[in-house]
Amino acid sequence: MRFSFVIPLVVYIWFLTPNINTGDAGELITSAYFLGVAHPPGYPLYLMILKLFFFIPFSNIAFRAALVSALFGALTLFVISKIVLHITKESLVAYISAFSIMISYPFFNQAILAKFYTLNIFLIAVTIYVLILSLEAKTLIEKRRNWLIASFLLGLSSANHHTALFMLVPISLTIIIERQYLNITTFLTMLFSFGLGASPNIYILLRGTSDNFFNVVTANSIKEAIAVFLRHHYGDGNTLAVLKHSTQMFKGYLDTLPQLFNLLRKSFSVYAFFPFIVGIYAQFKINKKVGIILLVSLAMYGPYLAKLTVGKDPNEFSLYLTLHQYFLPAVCIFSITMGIGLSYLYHLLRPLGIRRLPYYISLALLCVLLISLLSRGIDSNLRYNYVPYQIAKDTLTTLPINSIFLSYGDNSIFSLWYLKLVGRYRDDICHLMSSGEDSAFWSYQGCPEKIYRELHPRVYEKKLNNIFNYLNNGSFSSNLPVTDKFVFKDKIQSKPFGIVHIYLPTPHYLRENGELVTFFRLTDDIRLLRLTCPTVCTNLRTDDYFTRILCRVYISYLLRIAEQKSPENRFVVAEVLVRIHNPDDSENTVEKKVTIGEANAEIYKTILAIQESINNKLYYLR
Amino acid sequence: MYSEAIMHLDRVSNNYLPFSPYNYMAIKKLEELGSHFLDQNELELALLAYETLRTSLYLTRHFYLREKSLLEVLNQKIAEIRSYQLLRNYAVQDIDIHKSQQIDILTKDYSPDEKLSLICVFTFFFFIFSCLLWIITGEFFLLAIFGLLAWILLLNFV
Repeated sequence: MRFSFVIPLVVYIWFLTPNINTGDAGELITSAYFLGVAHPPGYPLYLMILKLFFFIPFSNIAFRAALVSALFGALTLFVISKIVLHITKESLVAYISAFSIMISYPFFNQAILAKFYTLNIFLIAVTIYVLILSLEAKTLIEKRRNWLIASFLLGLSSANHHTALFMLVPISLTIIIERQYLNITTFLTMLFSFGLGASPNIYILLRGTSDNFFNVVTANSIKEAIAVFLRHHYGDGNTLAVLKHSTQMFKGYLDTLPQLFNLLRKSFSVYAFFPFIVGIYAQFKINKKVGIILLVSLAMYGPYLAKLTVGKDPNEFSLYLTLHQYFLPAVCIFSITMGIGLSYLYHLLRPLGIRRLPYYISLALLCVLLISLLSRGIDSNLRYNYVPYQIAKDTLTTLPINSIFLSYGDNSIFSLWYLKLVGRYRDDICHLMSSGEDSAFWSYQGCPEKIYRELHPRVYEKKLNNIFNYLNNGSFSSNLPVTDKFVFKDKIQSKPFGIVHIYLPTPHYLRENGELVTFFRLTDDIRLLRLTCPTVCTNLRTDDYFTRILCRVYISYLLRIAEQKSPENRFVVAEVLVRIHNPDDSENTVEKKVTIGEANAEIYKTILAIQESINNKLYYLR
Repeated sequence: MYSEAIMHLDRVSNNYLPFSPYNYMAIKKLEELGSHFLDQNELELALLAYETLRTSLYLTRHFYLREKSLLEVLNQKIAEIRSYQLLRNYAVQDIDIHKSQQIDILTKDYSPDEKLSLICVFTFFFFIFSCLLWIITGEFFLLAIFGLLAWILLLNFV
């Protein structure tokens, strides 16, 4: 079964992101690098593994972090092939199960970037395997040992993504099924094992203090550490509230079934449902207890999780965000069941006298799966995706020295943290973050007081009037323009500058507070163009939603430059209607009549190339 | 375009492989480009080249930070360029104060101590494996508890 580990590992490393990727990667890497606490529930286990990989003397830190996902992705496939082999005793079927997960869109995408989901599914897969072993164990000692391992793994899972804790139900069910072997000593030892496994969560309390250099959330007391662990920062989305929600509105479970069906159809194909349904029947026939455990696990990671995370009518974004990552365990259990079904179908074919047929079918299926890998090379190839890194770098490059940069949205903030705090690029910039345009609350992870207190003392007084000086000399900028939703819209206006927007005081605010000193000119915008690399967006080989959003930033920037370089009827080449993304509303497009001349032809060419590159539909949601 | 050249050199220097000649060449080339732009008084491009080089060294650090002597030179040059830019854009009066302020920012390193971090991480995995060892063999329980306590202790000191 070693090929079910080696082949996926090689494939994933080949397609791995070469540097920072979109999503939470920047935040997780920065947290691990400074041994801080990531967003709730803190992810101490994942951070410790990341930190271990940061000591590998190879490539860059972000690549090493992505390597963790590739490794655990490959290990998961190895465990799954072992489970299928254990149940069916057919190695080719085990390979089919493992490789069908390997090329499935959600799994593939999580295995080639820095995030904790492959570690999560690895822990779940090992727990399932251990539970199956415990059910088939002949001696009490073996059963007890497997239960202790399962309890330990469950505790360990609590230090990573909390969806792994759903395994509590299959574990409890296993114990109920085999209750005749349970005594009070075993039960207490299991509780102790769980506690030992969960003990890495103490990291939140020890490293979450305010005096640590970098923390996404702080935990200065046991109460605050528990709040981080239970995700109280998310209000109604905290762990306990979500669990409470699961017991309400039973009809919600039925509403999630079509979404779940869509996920599995897109991950495999509609043809996979036949062996899957046969597999449900077969697993009960082979071993009823194993069948119950697999089915309950699928129910927990299928309809139950879908009820908690996906609404009745999710939009494209929420579907992409949730299906893409949360349902990996469901995908894996589906594939295990599909493998069992396939094996049972072969078993039915054998008495017909065509003994070699299953062998050839398996080989053909394996070939189809490996050929299907090519499609992942088209829609999920992160090997050349430098967009998050380059846009973060270009943003910082074009900012004035000693300026303050306020950014909105995880997508932009986290790669800036990575580049500025870990890579120490342009560490003269004080980077503030805000949760939304309607929020007056800024957080300071990118502008640690230890470094910038002397340079920007007024920033830490948290009053708009105190940062007026920065507004007045144009050294306060943001990745978003001031819109009607903006909380300070009466006091602040924005002017595009480079790929950012400089925030300036409004005339009304100026009258009350003093003169405006303009240090930048519009021509500076064109001068800054030579410092940026928009071509990074012209050859995208991934349909990553967030990468495409980032590239739209470049389009609006380049369009502005092209307009500034207006040909004014000299050397006019053509007048064309260009459909571009609306810079103020990234979800919609607008049509714009542009005059292309010698002066701006190159820029328009780049705009159209980026446009073409990002206009591809999301394959997964199609 | 020079920025494209710097982008590609950045990629090479970020794909660090010990003893790789390409990596070494990319570092040298970025340093040369920085000096070239500085001679031409192209401050933005010089800063871009030097900062790119400095960042690639930080982003490829592992259990030690390589090219420390080069970093010291880079810090000086970057602080100088930033101060000149401040002079040009904001007409600041005392350039020396700004330069020393920049040097201060550039030289302070708040990342946890590499050696202690390494020991801390290894202690953590020692704890995990000794727990599994205890579950499987029924022995080595004290080893697991020792691992946990040592890890907790180290987390406080890193």
